[in-house]
Parts: sequence; structure tokens; C-alpha cells
Amino acid sequence: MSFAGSFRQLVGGLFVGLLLVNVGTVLADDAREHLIGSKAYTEEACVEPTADMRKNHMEYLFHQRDITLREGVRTKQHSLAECVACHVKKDDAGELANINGDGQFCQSCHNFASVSIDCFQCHAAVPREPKHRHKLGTSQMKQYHGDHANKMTPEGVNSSFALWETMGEQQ
Amino acid sequence: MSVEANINQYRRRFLGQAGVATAAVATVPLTSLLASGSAQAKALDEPASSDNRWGMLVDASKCADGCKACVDACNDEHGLEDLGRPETDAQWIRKVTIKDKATGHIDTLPLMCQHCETAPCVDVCPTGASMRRADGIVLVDRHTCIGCRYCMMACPYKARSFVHEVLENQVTHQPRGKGCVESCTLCVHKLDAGDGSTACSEACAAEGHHAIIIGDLKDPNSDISRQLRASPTRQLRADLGLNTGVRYKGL
Amino acid sequence: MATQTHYRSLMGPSPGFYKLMAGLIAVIMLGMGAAYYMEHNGHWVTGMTNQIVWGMPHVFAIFLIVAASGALNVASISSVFGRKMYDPLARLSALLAIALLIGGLMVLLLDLGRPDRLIIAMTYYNFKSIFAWNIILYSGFVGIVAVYIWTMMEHKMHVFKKAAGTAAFIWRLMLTTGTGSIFGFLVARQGYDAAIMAPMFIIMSFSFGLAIYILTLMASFNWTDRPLGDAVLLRLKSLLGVFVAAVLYFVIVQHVTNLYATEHHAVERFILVDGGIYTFLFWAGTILVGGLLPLAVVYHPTLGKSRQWIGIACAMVIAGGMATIYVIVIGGQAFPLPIFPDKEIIESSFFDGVVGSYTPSLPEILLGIGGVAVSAAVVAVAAKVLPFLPESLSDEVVDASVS
Ligand code: HEC
Ligand code: HEC
Ligand code: HEC
Repeated sequence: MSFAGSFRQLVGGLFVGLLLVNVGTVLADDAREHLIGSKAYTEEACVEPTADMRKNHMEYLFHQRDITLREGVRTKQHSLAECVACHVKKDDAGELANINGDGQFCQSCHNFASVSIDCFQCHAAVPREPKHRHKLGTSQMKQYHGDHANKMTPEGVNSSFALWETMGEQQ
Repeated sequence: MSVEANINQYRRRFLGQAGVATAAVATVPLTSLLASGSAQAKALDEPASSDNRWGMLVDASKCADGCKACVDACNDEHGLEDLGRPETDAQWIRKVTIKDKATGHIDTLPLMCQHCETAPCVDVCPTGASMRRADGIVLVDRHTCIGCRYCMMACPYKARSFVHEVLENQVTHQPRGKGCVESCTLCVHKLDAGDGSTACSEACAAEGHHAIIIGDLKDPNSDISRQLRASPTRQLRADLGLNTGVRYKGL
Repeated sequence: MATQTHYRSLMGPSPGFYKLMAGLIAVIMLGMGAAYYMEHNGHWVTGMTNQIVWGMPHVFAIFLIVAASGALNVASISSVFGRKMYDPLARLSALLAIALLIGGLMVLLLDLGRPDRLIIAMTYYNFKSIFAWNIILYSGFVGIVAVYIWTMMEHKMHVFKKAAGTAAFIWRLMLTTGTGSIFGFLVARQGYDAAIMAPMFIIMSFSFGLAIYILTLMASFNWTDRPLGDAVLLRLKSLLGVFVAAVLYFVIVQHVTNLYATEHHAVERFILVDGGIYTFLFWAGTILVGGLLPLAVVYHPTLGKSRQWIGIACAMVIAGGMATIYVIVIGGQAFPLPIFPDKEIIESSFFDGVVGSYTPSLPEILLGIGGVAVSAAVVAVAAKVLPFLPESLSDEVVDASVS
């Protein structure tokens, strides 16, 4: 690991420590407040235990990145596309907001910890499908929208977003 | 929540999806069978294997002059936008019209990454970002691409594009960004998901031309293998000995 | 009995030095600004396209890197081949080699699509790639030449001078072979498909490197009021004449052998006859300005003894060298790829079968010149703080040290 990397880890570690204290005390009542508006709010847990995710999400992502690109493994548990789909929120105007935008999920801690990531220069920061799906019900839909794929409409994710949003309200 | 509970939750979710997948195959048997290049799709956690080699057969005699359904489908599938700068806009697949110098016969055909077995782009890439998967698909790992463009210099088919600008509105399954080199991925996301076809071949079929078929070259029973056995085909720049995964018929 | 050569750094207040540095820093800042502009917007603001993927920055970078290994020649002649007269010239020669390489590499780096991924370039290696080998060759070159300079400067290390000099000499041959092979490996492009590319790069490096060396020597001695005698200068310019002639010879051999192979006729015709700017640059740049004219000056009975004219000849070799690299790098890409050798391409949306068009943009040129300024600044600063330059190279001093 590079010097810069270890330094950042150190800073990151300190920060995570701080954050844990914070979450433990200040946000004890509603630690999930910051998830409101995202599908994650309707879910019980992240893809790994929360504390582990806070500390190690980058390792999971890097590993996933390599096995997907190099070997063609397409598991979803640590897929970046899945993080976005679950953690993305709508803005005041009702549009999906870029997940790395100011105050949005991936940016919230990074800003604080002075981490900068380049992932969303390439990766879609909101779930986005091609304009025309040639065959409805093909695998991509299932791949990116999980169980809702069979109820998908051509408008794509917005409707699936709406779907779980209403599900969330029902709960 | 405990780790175990998490895993269980995931297992449930995964099984749920697998169920949907089965259901989907059951309800649309016609399209999936027609499109499928190899009989069984790979499981999500299964790595690509050298027991397969994905390939493409282009039948130039079926490719219609003036039709660019494959190009449009590719652009849409991967979110390639026309920025009105043809010299720097990315093109993963293009239509080329050629005339035989001796006979004057005119052909039109799609041209894209030929997914070579001994790919020059893979050999020259300094960081190993240009790579060939076990199943023969040549890709750029854009996480390690430094944008040196040596692969573009080396490619005999001019199949690669450099991203010349900041991009927005990428589609989820195809991340793309400034400063990296990219090219046809043989719709690896679709093949891995078990579609058995690419956006271009589906679009071509939808137009009724069926000039592009995709399949496993190592499976003797695949449609593509049978067609390759049945009639003569050729590799572009066969003299370079690259054993391309894309073959042309009717040229 | 050979007398000791005295070296001296540029001590004391020297307004000239600071003026020079101010100028160089301004040029470097312009280059950096240009690089930032290109990176910020992406390469579409340059002349480079998906057809011409390597543009002006590569022309500068390759020229500087090739010249870097050639700049080491003078030192090699002294340490490896034991020519006493070249001894006092060796330190500057080694310094110039490092400086040119640093300038060239900087340009190459800043023209990458993702210069922020430098760390990846240095940690992920594909050992099949000649480009990756070049990265190793370049860093090794800087290291070896630095050690070589140390053996020359540190009295206790003098015993290792020959060994270090020989290592540096062998390394530089490998380095230039490597640079030439970058093109030699591109079998698909007809303009580069020639085995002669690697030796041709070596001989070009001799010529470009020496031309830059002579200019640097004249300038630095002039600006620091140190005596530079005719003996040294005339010897160097005769050597330059030999190298320039050798480059011309190789260029001719390259094209004549290509004309034997029918498959290369089209690309030869393109460079030699109807390639527009490339044909012009070949004949006017490589052949005339970079070859015939400097040869005429160097061997002219009166012009060949004039310092001014020797300087002009060096400048012409450099200009012709840039033209040569331009024709190789850009011209080689502009010539269309033979994807369908037996067919004529009548339509394509991706410029298949047509000559690629390229107009260098201002930022690209500024970046290239910035690299040159970095090289110059490295030389200036190093010569300011360390004893690189001999106090005098007057004929008497040189005579005394040789005899
Ligand atoms: C709980 C706060 C938090 C959230 C939320 C968060 N991160 Fe992080 N992330 C961090 C910290 C802290 C680091 C730095 C740790 C280090 O460098 O070791 C980091 C580092 C990273 C890195 C590694 C950066 C590098 O170059 O080393 C990546 C990649 C990353 N995060 C991606 C994401 C993504 C994608 C999301 C949104 C899905 C996200 N993070 C959400 C806190 C967070
Ligand atoms: C199925 C929905 C879902 C997916 C997919 C998902 N998460 Fe989460 N994530 C959650 C939930 C729910 C929480 C809150 C858990 C809690 O309350 O303890 C959470 C919490 C987190 C946290 C801690 C946030 C904090 O403020 O403490 C991080 C960091 C995080 N997720 C990153 C990721 C990353 C990175 C990915 C992709 C690898 C990802 N998540 C995928 C649902 C998801
Ligand atoms: C230059 C563009 C680019 C950048 C920057 C980039 N990626 Fe990717 N990424 C890609 C491409 C292309 C794929 C392949 C997509 C495919 O085949 O499905 C990919 C795939 C992935 C995958 C597997 C697919 C998925 O969604 O899980 C992961 C994980 C991933 N990237 C993580 C990252 C992380 C983390 C970062 C930031 C540190 C990052 N990427 C930055 C281009 C990029």
C-alpha cells in the first residue's frame, strides 16, 4: 500500500472512530435519519454489518471491481451498481439525486474525511437504463432491480423507485 | 443485525431472483432460445471459463445497405452519445461499405473489436488494463487504464475510442469516463447475465436481417459453430495471425 | 602530464541566472496551464482524435527522450572510449541527458488521459509491453546516470568512473532501442512496420543529442563568461557532421528497402510524394533542414569555423529532427490502416480508408515547449549549485590536459 494510502487510512480510521462515537451518542434516537428517502431506509441492514461497512466498504468494492472485470464474477452483494440503487435518494424536486452529490450518501462522510473518489466520473450516480430496452424482462432488469424486475415498466428505474417507495410507506 | 442474518437475507434475495430468472426463461422461451448462443447461462458467482470462447459471425450478404440498427442499438445500450464531433466521438461499432478492387462488388458490414486471441492491444498495454477474459472477450479494465492510447496505435482494426471529454448520464451497467480507452465489450454484461446475445445482434434480428450471430465457438453444437463449419468465413487481416473471435461470411 | 580540470558552479549573485530562470518558469507555467486545460476539458480541445491518437506532445516527448540518450554521447566518448579531450565535457553531457529525459517524461505523463493514475503506471506492469519496459528503462537511466555523475564528481569514486560510464552507455543503447521499438511493434500500421526503426532511432539520438549539447555548451560558457576554445568546438561539430550524415543514410535505406516491398508502396508514396504536409516535412525538414544544410555548413571551409554558423547548424539539426519525429509519429498514424487490403473503402462513419487530419493545437505545443523549459531549468539549477561546468575550455587548457 502506498504511503498516501496508509495515511488516508489512518485519517479515515480516526474519522470512523469519531463517527462511531457520534452515531452511538448523538444519533442514538434516529441513526437512520440520513437514510430517509432511499430504498435503504426500508431495508433492515446493509450488505454487511453496518460497522464493517463504515470501515471496509472500499475494500469490498475494490475486490468486487477486480473479480467482475478480470474474472467475470457478477455477484451482487458488493456490487457498486447495487449500492447506488439502494442508497440513492430523490431531491426536493423529486428527481433522483446523484449519490455523490453534496450531502448525498457517498459524499456525506467523504467530504468530512477529505476522501475523494473518482468512481462516479464513470459509474452512473443514479440508476439509469438505456433509453430503449429491446427486450423487456431480460436479465438486466433482474440484475439491477432485483425482485421488482417482473413489474418493470419501460420508464425504468423511476417507476421501480416509486414502487419501493410506496412499499416503504406501506410498512 | 448479525452477519449470519445478513447472509440469510442475501440468500433469500438471491434465491428470489433466481426464481424470477427461471420464470422469465419459462415465459419467454422463444426469444431466449433464439438468442442464446450457448445452452446454459453462467451463474452470477461463476467466473468466465476458458471452456468457452465467445465469438461473433457477421454475414455480410445479409447486412443491408443503409441500415444501421446495430450501431444505434450499441450506442443506446452503452450510452454512447453523438456530441456532433465525429472525429472524437466514441464509436464501438460502425458500418463500413467496401468495394472489391478487382470485381467492383460492393459489400456493407459492421466493424468492431475483433476480440483477437493474440490481441495486440493486450500485448502493448503497459499496465495490463487491456485484457482478455478467459472466455475470449477482450476488454479494457478502465480502473487501471492510464489513457496512454498505445493500444489504439496497435489495433489493426481501429476498433478503439478514447473518451475525449467529461461524460454525464452514463447508464448503470456501462460506466464510461474521460481519459480512458474503450471499445466493444461484446456486451459482456449481457452475456454474463445469460442473455446469450448482444445489443447489435438483437437489433439486427429485430430488423429481420439476422446478419450478426453470437455464440460459443468452443461449443460444437452452438449455432455459430455449426454455421462456421457449414460455409467459408474469413478473419479480417488474417495475415496477422490474430485468430479473431469475429468472423465474416459472404465477403 | 595531464593537468587537473577545474570545475566551478555558478557562484555569487548572477542577475543573468535569475532572469533566465524567471523566463523558464514562465514558460513552464504556461505548459502546466496548457496541461491543466487539456486534462480539465478532455482531449477534444486538442488536435488529437480517435484517428490521430498521439499528437504534438508525443512529438516533443519522443524527441526529448531520444535526444536525452544522445546527449550522453560526449561523456561516453570520454569514459568508455578514453578520449582525454572529452573528459572536461563529460559532466555537462550526463546532466543534459538526465534533464532532457525528465522534460520528455513530464510531457508524456501530462498528455496521458489519466495522469492522476501515475501510481498505477508505476505499480501495475505488463511485462509483455514494450511501453512498460520503457518506463523501467527510463527510470533506470536516470538512476545510472546520476551514479555516473557522482563517480565523476567525487574524487574517491573516480575508480568506478569507467564502469559507471560503460553501464550508462549500454543502458542508453537499450533505452533508444526501446523507444524505437515502440513503433517497430506496431505491425498493423504500415508506416512503422520496419525493422530498421530501432537502429535508426539510435543514430538519430546521436545527432539530436549532440546538437543540443553543443548549443548548451556554447550558451552556458557564453553567459558565464568562461573561455571556450575552437579546439573543442571544431571537434564536436565534425562529430555532428558524421552523425547527421549517418541519419541521412539510414533514412534513405529505410525508404529504399520499403520500396522493395510492394505492400509498402502506398505508404512510401504517401510520405515521399503526395502526403501533403508530411511529404513537405520529409523533404524540407528531414532531408534539407535537418540533413543537407547542416552538412553543408559543418563542412564549409569558412562557415564551418564560425561559431554563429555552428550554432545555426545545430539549430537546423534540431528543427529537422522535430520534423522527422513529426513525420514518423503523426504521418504514420495519418496513413489509413489497411483493414481490407483487397477492397476500397467507399463509406465509413469512422474515417476508415481516409488520411487522418491533424492540426496541432496551441495547448499541445505549449505543453511540449514547457517540457523543453523543464529540461533547461534542470540544467540551469544543477549547474548553478554543483560543479558541472569547467572553468575554462580555452585551447591552452584543453591542450594542456590532453598532452
Ligand atoms: C460512513 C461514512 C461513509 C459513507 C457513507 C461512504 N464512505 Fe466511502 N469512505 C469513507 C471513509 C472514512 C473512507 C476513507 C478510508 C480510507 O482511506 O481508508 C472512504 C473511502 C472510500 C473509498 C476508497 C478511496 C480511496 O481512494 O482509497 C471508496 C472507493 C469509497 N469510500 C466509496 C464509497 C461509496 C461508493 C460510497 C456510497 C455508496 C461510500 N464510499 C460511502 C466513509 C464513508
Ligand atoms: C439492499 C439495500 C442496500 C444495499 C444494496 C447497500 N446498502 Fe449500505 N446500507 C443499507 C442500510 C439499510 C444501511 C443502514 C444499516 C443500519 O441502519 O445499521 C446501510 C448502511 C451503509 C453504510 C453506513 C452508513 C452510515 O451512515 O453509518 C455504508 C457506508 C454503506 N451502507 C455503504 C454501502 C455500500 C458501499 C454498498 C455497496 C457495496 C451498499 N451500502 C449497499 C442498505 C443497503
Ligand atoms: C474510467 C471509468 C471508471 C472509473 C473511474 C471507475 N470504474 Fe468501476 N467500472 C468501470 C467499468 C467500465 C466497469 C465494467 C462494467 C461491467 O462490465 O459491467 C466497472 C465495473 C466496476 C465494478 C463491478 C460492477 C459493479 O457495479 O459492481 C465495481 C465494483 C467497480 N467498477 C468499482 C469501482 C470503484 C469503487 C471505483 C472508484 C474507486 C470505480 N469503479 C471507478 C469503469 C470505471
